[in-house]
Amino acid sequence: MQITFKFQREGTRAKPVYSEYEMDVDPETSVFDALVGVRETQDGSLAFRGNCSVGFCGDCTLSVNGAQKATCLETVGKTQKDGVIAVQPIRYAPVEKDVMHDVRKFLWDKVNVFARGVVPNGHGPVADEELRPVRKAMRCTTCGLCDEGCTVIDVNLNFHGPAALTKLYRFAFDPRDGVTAERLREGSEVNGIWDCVHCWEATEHCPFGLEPTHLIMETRDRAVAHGVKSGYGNKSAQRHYDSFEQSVEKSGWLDERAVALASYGGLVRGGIRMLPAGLRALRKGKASLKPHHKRPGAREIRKIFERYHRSTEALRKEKQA
Amino acid sequence: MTRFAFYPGCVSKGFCPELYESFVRVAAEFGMELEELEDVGCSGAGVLPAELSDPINARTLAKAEAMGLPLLTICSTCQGVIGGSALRLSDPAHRERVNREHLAEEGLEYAGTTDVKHFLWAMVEDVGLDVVRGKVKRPLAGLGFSPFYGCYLRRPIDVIQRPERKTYLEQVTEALGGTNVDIAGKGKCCGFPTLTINEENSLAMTAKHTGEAVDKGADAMVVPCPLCHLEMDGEQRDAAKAAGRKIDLPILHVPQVVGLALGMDPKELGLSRHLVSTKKFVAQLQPVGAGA
Amino acid sequence: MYDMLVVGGGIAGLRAALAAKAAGASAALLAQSHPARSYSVTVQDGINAPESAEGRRALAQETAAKGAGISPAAVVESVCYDAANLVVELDRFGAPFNRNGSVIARARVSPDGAPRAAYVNDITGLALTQTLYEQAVGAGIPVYDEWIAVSLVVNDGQCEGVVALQLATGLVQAFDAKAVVLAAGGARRAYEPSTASLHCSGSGVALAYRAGAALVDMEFAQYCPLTLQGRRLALSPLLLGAGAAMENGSVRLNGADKAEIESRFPDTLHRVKALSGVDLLQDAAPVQPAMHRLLGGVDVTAQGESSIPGLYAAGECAGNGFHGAEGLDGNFLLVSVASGKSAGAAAAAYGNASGGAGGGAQAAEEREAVEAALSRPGGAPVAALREELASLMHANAGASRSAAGLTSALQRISSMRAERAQLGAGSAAKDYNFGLVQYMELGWLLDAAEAMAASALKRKESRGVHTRTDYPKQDPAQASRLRVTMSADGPKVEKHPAEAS
Repeated sequence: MQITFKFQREGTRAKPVYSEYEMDVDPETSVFDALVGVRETQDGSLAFRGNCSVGFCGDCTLSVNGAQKATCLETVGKTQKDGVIAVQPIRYAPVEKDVMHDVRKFLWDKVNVFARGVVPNGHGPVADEELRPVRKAMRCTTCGLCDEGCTVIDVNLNFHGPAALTKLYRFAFDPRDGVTAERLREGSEVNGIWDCVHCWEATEHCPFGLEPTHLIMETRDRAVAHGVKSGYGNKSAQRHYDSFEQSVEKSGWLDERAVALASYGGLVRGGIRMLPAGLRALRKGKASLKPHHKRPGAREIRKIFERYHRSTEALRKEKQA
Repeated sequence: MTRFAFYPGCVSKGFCPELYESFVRVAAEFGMELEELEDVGCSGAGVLPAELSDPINARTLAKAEAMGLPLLTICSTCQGVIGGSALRLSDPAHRERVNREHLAEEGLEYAGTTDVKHFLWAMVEDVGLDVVRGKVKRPLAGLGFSPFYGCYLRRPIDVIQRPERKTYLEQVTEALGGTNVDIAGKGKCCGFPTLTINEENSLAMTAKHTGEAVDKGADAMVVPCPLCHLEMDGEQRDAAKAAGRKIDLPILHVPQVVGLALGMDPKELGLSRHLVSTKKFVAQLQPVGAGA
Repeated sequence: MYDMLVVGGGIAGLRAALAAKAAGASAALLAQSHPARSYSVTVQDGINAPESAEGRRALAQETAAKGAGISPAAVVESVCYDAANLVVELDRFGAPFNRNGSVIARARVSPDGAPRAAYVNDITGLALTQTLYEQAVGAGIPVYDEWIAVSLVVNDGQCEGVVALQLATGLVQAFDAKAVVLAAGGARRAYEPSTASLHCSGSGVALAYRAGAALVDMEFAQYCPLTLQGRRLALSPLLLGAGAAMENGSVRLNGADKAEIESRFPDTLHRVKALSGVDLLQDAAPVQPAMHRLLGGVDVTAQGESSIPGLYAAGECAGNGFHGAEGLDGNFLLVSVASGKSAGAAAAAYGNASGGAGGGAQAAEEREAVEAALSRPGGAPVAALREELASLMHANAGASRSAAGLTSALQRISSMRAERAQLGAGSAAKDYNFGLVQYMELGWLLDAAEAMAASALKRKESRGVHTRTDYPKQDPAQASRLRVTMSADGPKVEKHPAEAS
């Protein structure tokens, strides 16, 4: 079928200026192969990456007709709309040339923070099920589609993002690693696991079903189990998570005022930060001055917390041993 | 008629009382019977680890199960987090462990049968949009609403179960006679979870969504989650300041929008309690009965 | 100046860099694609590593038998006998090999073979590449990714580094090194159909060939019968070991345990579905033979030393003779790891003891050559030559060969080389000029193809995967290996003893 391939070479993502190329192509051809065909026969200066063409190397991620894809796993026939395939850079990464994003800034610089290899801890034989999480994480091709969907990266490119944090998960769950707690502390700093807003976009965007959002949540639990305080090196995260937990533990539900005050850093700092909106809220009847009270069931919920603390404490001791 | 075990969540009882009150009025109008659960805990809101939130939510699910009723939420975050627990608890081994370690002591047991539904879903699936349409006394014609789902009513797909649920906000707006104003970030995070952790990120998210909605001509944004409301209403002024622009977009809870179309008084629905003024928006409403 | 520089970022190259680093050498790695994007990540095979000494002896015997009597015994034995250690080492590096209980599991790579291949589900290549990359990050090995080696620097008969081009900028510069390990992969794009990744262009063999090094066993190139129809995905022989069968051009699961297939082959199922639209759990997936592995390469010893001092080779571009005339399933990853480790260690030892003069002058020459190529037309005519070469090689130097076909292929390759000389990049862009890359790759492919066809013409018998229609029988008198070197009169092919046991 005759396809018009459009490459954004100038302009912006919102207002692209395209260069157009016509090519006759079998609808079963993969989008990546077709794009390579255009480049090889019509314009060798067109820049985009890609290598293996069978969905393993993760290099051919692009935006095609408005959707972000691993292009080697999509066919021309299903992707084209009215005979057009329009190619743009993915949304949240800086652009290097044409439709090619800066993969170093977008992925490798961040992945490498957590990629330092296993440092053996002298652990004895490891059972197969203990390595399942590692195998799961290693299915990741670092295609970057999770970061491409990430709500936080959308507003802050410095957030490590789910691809790099999947690498952290890979080590956090490797029983053979001797520096896991250190890695988890690194990962708990600003722009790490505690800056994730658990919006599940990463899970939705992963083409291989790795559920990166879950992996980040599991990594947080792992950090706590390793004795790394929630939000280590990231005090506001720590205050938020701790005060939230304390509030529910104490009364069975959330004392928003107390949590907000504590999260902002206590009565004085929190009070100053919250005062203007708080006063407006009071005036408008949105907030009230009624004290927070316990709900029925608070006692049972506290027991759940007690059992949880006992089991995490036991796990922490085991990790340290 | 439809009966539910009603889980109000923390925020509708705290900083968003207008959500609770508007919901109760609208539910009554639809003939929904609510058995409000008191003896239950916070869902965990995605803040508590699953090891804690699963037993707490198993307790809630077991109580609804004992009443033989589906669990109704009015907060996307409660919905998503309890729904996530329910999904994990559908694994018999995990459920058995939670029952044994946590619920047995109070003589409770969760058998895994409770359906968890957000009010938005119940309105479309149980009440029915034809019924909703039939009750409209003040069509919202001429007003632009930007649907903002946030995270938990869109993802993960195995928790929301039906993909069509990702279109309910738009369907409801249309049934009420309003116009949808689509924005790129309607299924993204509002910024609330990171408000006290990384304020810059948080405000940037809010400014992005509300700013785009205003730029596209929305008169208000509709949210099914009180946390989105706290963020995008309560923090909008700071977000606009950080982004160096003017926004002033009223943020409405779903039951407020429905209540307005059903002819209820904006003040009764708590619109005057919002931090972003709703005055200009309210002034654009038609009188009750017009065009119905 | 590095003690040693590796060209190529796949499993063999990474393993070589780590071995050199472990030996105390300063090592760096230069690769056309980022290591995590190399072809190695697609390999779903297992890695032969029998647990018992008896099993390893049997593996050595089978390897030699499959290789049809021309594999050097020393190479076969050293690789096979070390196999289990190599796997344990990879596991210690962090590779999450599947286990039976807590013992590294072994699976079959054929329906009736011994269970002896260690594996990480169906992502052994991806997992090993990641593991070795992680170790390289941990060891602080500098990685120059998206740099393309354009020539080897050889001064006074010693290899002293490479000249390379940075894809992002067009910058051409010398990387001085006391020793170089080539680990740049195969030459699959010289054939169609093939399992080639886009940049699998024979640069390793071509760079060595041009620098005067001997290539060996170039007549042996193995098709993969399990290549997904119309795609470039080579399915894993582990599938056959798990009970799948190949019938009438399709792979089907037949009696295989579907739950086991689902748990061990999730990525295969996913890729087959995405690439062919077939749910392998329910239906048969059509497959075809496609060019897969170059069995020969740069002529090297068991330690990876080439005929040029200071130049080493590992992985698919290395011809240490391990596979002989035909490779055994499960042996490909094994020899990549083994050859990478030994070449890296040997290069480090050599580099520590010698010094280099540098490649500044040669970089200036290459820069001029690149400038000239940037001003010549290219694009479609270069692509057309590459396509013609690929069908020519498949037809005349593929699964069956004859003197007539090979002779005409060699003539055409020679004239294609002349045609290519008139062509270039097709545009003057300095940054990410893929037209320039394509032009350079065609040059390497033509060199590799010439060496393959010339060697195939010289071997007047059928042996292993080399099938001559005009000499259908194996000839015991030709149980020797063929070395090929570049000369002004074209490729010079000479016999030398196989040193098989």
